[in-house]
Amino acid sequence: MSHTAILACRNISKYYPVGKKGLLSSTKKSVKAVNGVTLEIHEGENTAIVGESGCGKTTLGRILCGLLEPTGGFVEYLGLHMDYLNRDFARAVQPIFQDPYSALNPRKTVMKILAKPFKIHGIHYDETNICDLLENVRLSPGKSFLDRYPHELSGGQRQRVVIARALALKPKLIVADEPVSGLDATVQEQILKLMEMLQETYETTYLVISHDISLVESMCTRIAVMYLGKIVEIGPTKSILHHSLHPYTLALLRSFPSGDPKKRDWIDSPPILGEVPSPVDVPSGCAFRTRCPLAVDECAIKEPIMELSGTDHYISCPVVLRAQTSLHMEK
Amino acid sequence: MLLSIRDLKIYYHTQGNYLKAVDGVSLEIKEGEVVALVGESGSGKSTVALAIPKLLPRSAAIMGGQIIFQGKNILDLDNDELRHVRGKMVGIVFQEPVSYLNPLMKIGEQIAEALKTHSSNLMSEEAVSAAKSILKKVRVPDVDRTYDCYPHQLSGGMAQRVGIGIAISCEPSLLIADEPTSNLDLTVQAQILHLLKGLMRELNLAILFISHNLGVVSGMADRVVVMYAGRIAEEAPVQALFNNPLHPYSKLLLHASRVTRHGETSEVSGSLPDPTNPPEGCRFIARCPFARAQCRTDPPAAFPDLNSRVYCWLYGEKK
Repeated sequence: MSHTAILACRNISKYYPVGKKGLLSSTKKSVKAVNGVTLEIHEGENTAIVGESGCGKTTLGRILCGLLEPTGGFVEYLGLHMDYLNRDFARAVQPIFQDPYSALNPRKTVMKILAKPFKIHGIHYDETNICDLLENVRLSPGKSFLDRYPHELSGGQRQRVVIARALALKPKLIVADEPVSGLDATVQEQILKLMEMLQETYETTYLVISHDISLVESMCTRIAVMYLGKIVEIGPTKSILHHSLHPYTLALLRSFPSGDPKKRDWIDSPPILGEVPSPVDVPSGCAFRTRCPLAVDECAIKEPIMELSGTDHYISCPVVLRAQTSLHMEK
Repeated sequence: MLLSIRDLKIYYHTQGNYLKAVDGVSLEIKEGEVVALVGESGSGKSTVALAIPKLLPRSAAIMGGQIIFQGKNILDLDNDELRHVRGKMVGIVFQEPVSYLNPLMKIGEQIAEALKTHSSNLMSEEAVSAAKSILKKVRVPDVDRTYDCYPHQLSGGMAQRVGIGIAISCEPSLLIADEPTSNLDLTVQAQILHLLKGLMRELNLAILFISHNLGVVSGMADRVVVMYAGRIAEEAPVQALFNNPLHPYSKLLLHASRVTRHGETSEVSGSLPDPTNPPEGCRFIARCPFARAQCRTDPPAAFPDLNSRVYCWLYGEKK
């Protein structure tokens, strides 16, 4: 692992204002989509962001690939402070979006879609470059796809074109936001195999944003768990999946279908009640306290901070950490 | 037997062509049983589900077969009799609860409306209290407040609870659940499935559970029917299917769904056959690693095992 992260974000937040200013109140309400996230991504270390809808994972992904300007905090690329919409940064960090149907312009041919990144960055290209790109994502013969429009492609083929476009400039990092959701199981398998293979040829790193834990397990070496705009636990994949500590991570993992008809306790006793509160009125202190089985009075007052709990494994829950230390003391 | 579908064929009209969405499907559901219908998009699973209460779109034509529900062939019923079937005997829960609830009507009134439709002598006040007791049954917190809410004020999970409430309001004996949790978060999904299981026991409800998510199916189903390109590939008790899938497509699907890690890991290639002109023999032939000459010409027969059946020439010879 190299010491400088390819991409790092420091205390990033993104607020969206909602509603009108009241007559008497001068403060506007806002949706706190991302609320103080610090994260580092190292070369070759595929990182995953998992969480439920509304936790801010997609917003964070968009900030990380320079598509959104954060309200607070900043992004560093190879240790350098990056402005929003910086060209070098845009070239090095490319996105793969969730929905290949809306990610491609329906009025442009595959040739035009794939030539665009070269044009924007003023790089010389010819038809063979485009054909090579297509063949690399297993659309062959590449030539036969050049004049097709997105509607003439199947869902899986479209996602391959999206991936080819992301790879065109040989990026250092690809932000893949739910890269296979919405595709059929067998097509998902094909796309994931392709992404794995391309990682070797292009020497790129993935930041995978997903709610699918089995996908993340097979692709990533590090997992960050988000809840209401904050990272609550981060660590190596194995450590998170088998020795998770944060009560939210535990609940999330226990809600995941076991895939074994003999183990049905995830349905028979759902691990957690209620739903995620609105990101406009985030609970004070720890955002998870309203659903947390371990919550104590202190959680409503003090905002938890990330603390080391094991090798490279951080959590933001003082209650669990205290229990852990007292356990060690007894031993 | 609560429901038995025999050799059902449903074709869609498309630009002078017939799209063979369902092509000879037979399946049975017992009382209180959960049968899962799985397959990828285009397999025909939702078409089968919509055919049971005869809610197919105009472009669909039922080309043959029978749907026997509690001894009556649904395909022979007239509109009045069908209205009785829909809601009172068969309840339906769809994928997007917010989109099939009326956005201009209060939640409670929508449930009360369903109740009044099926028992005309119900007084208004009675309907209100009945609707509230249904909201309680689907574990909606703060029943009085939710009764006066409009659909857009509810979260996805809460809206799906209301959807389930409407579906079970007239105590049907069969619930068709078409991808009921596929847009919900993991923790909410677990809660909704828990609710469905509880209601099943309480009301002795049978469920036809349609899903492409084999993880969810592993938790819900008693029996699983795997469909591919309009035909059944395999039918088996849930444990048998997950531990020992027989049909090459079932193996592929289980592997690709990342729920089990055994079986062949051969590269998956190809896609569904053209539904307007499916292959003569086995529909899975283009993607099957074990295909032989016979598979090209003869559609596979059903080979029954102890509690299951598989449509594949690997498991038997032509009689």
